Amino acid sequence: MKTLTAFEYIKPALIDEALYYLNKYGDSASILAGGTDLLVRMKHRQINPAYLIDIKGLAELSTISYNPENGLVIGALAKIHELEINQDVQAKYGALAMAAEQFATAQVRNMATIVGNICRSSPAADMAPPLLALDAKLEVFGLGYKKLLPLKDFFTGPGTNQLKNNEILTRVMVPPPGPCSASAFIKLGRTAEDLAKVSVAVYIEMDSSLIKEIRIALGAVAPTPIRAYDAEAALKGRTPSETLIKDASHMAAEATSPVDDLRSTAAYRREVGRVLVERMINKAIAEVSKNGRQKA
Amino acid sequence: MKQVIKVTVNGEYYEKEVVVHKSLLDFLRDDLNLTGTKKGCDNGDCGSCTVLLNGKPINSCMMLAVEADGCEILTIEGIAGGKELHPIQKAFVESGAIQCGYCTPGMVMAAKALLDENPDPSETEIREAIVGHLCRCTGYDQIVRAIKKAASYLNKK
Repeated sequence: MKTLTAFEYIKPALIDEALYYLNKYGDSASILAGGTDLLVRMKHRQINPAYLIDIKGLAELSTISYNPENGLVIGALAKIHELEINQDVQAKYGALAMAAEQFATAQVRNMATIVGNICRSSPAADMAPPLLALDAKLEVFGLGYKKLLPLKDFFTGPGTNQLKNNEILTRVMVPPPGPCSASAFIKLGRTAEDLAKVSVAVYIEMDSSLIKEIRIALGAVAPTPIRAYDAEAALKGRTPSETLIKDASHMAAEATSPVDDLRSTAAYRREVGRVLVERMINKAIAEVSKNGRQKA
Repeated sequence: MKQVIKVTVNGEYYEKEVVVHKSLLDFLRDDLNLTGTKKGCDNGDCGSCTVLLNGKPINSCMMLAVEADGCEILTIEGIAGGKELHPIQKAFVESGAIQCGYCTPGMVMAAKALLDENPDPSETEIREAIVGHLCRCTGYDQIVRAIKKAASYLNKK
């Protein structure tokens, strides 16, 4: 039987109160939000926190909000399902909406949080590629301070990141998308419930026929979710052509360092990663020109 | 460590002391004797523990009972009207959507959540709604047909 072992349960009402307990208990405490990952790992004895700090009482962290100036702000308690049905997300952050829609099962989407998925820092985290492509920043609170971390530097290895054991990741901030921009996401998996074999997200911003900005992110093909910087540099400032996009997709595949596991071989992941990068670049470009035509 | 929680389950209000490391699933089954909700994988993979929390389907094995404090829960025991089966239950029986029955309570709750929001779902929407449920007997087709039939029953009402 997979029962949970005993722990102390603490449900603070204020961020400072939560920080107080995190400072007091350090590594023996875990933060509980959605619980879909934490409780399962506790049942399997992969982690055994003596204290669970349930942050669901921190009501100010429960919302997803958007304004054209600051962009999208996702609170630590916002569920994947809330992202999936958010109209601003659907209209302006295509890659994020697609990733939310394909995330696990209906039940899990009703429980799991976006921030939890980032904090878990799985190489295959579904929220990571779209948020990397959209250049998200993370708001982190510690006792007496607040800082912003770029997501692109956050992941340090499989399941590890820059967050300290006495800090809380409170919000994800996604900048407003550029005027002629679009983003796209795709995930390949064995089944809907399973982790991704490969996932790709692309954000692109055009200035007439030139690629003004492009960000390419891949999941499940390296120890952490990654950006394909060389491929981005090859495309930035250029007019997209079939050859250019194919070459850049090869460069993106070269940025990966996948593993063989029960889901896929490394060779498959690298090759499919290349194909999916190519497809997502083309899809995002098509989306930009479609939106342009609609506005004209 | 124990804590008192206040929950409404199937319309009935409970104020109960519960061990904090007990899952909502174990609380429903062991403390409230509502054993209709099944424990399958206890891992969030099989969907047999699905209940509606404030109207939305969740895996009760992946939630602590204390986390449900203040919430409204609907389990399989709460959907029929007295001795009359709920139209979804009736459609499951009529469509051969039940063999061993272990996945059925979860499937019925998922179907209820779907039909509450979308009274006339397409086959794809039905299949997407039950993606988090494993059935080892029926091959799913009968379950999909049952949910379609249930939709037609509910729309006739």
